[in-house]
Amino acid sequence: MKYIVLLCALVAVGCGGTTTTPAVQDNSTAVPYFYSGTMDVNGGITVAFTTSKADILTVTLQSVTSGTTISTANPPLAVPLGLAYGVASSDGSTCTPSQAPVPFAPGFTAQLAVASVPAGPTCVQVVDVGNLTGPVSFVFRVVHH
Amino acid sequence: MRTTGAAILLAALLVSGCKNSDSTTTSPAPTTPTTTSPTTETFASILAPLGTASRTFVASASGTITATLTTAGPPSNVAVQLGLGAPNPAGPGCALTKVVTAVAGTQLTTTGDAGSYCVAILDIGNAPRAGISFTISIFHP
Repeated sequence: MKYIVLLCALVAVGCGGTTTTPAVQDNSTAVPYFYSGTMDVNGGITVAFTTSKADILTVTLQSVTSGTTISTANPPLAVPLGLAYGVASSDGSTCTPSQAPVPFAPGFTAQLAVASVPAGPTCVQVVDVGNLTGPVSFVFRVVHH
Repeated sequence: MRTTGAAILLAALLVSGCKNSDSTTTSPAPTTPTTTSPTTETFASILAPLGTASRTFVASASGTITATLTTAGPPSNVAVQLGLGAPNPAGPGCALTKVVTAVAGTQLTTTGDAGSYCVAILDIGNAPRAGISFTISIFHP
């Protein structure tokens, strides 16, 4: 908790008109945060936060389901979405990715892992890399150790 | 100088008088590594026709997660869907990651990091009007 100063902003990017829910901290481990949102074809979302020191960052796309709302009744999709991290502006309104998005199918173990993210405003992006044929809902987890 | 020494002595006596007369020393508590044992949770309820039911659980460490549909019925061989996923951060429900068609005895196993998960059961049109009574065992770190 002490390593995360503040969730700065949730910013929609791309042309999907996406929304993202506030992060929910999972107290079972050090600093994992869950995010959820919806994404349309060619869409994407960015979450921004500030870290107080250089540290490990992991991102896991945990679920992708069809539709624009999360419901237990919605069947899971194995469609990969792109994950990327980068440097956020101080107000969290913009994100400069450090890499091209890497596609990952939903899973339960860390997918995008960065050994040492510099302290300061950081962002994570989840984007459609050309696999979506309609709107989806998704949940992903960001962990700072 | 003598006055100062006396004051220090008096202060020491006052302080010691506030404590238990038994003179004890406290050594730092030993730090022992904690071990996490796998846990089995039980989720039992009734699944309504065309309904869903889910339960959130927390894995305290990385490892194997297994959900077993222990019992389901009536009828005794009723088929449902058994799923694992992530809890919806914005509200109720389980955002499923994988599902299988299941009857009593079916297991769904995965490997996952520490964190929150959910197990879900879904009727696929087989439930009688009174619903399906089920029990799911969840084995996780």
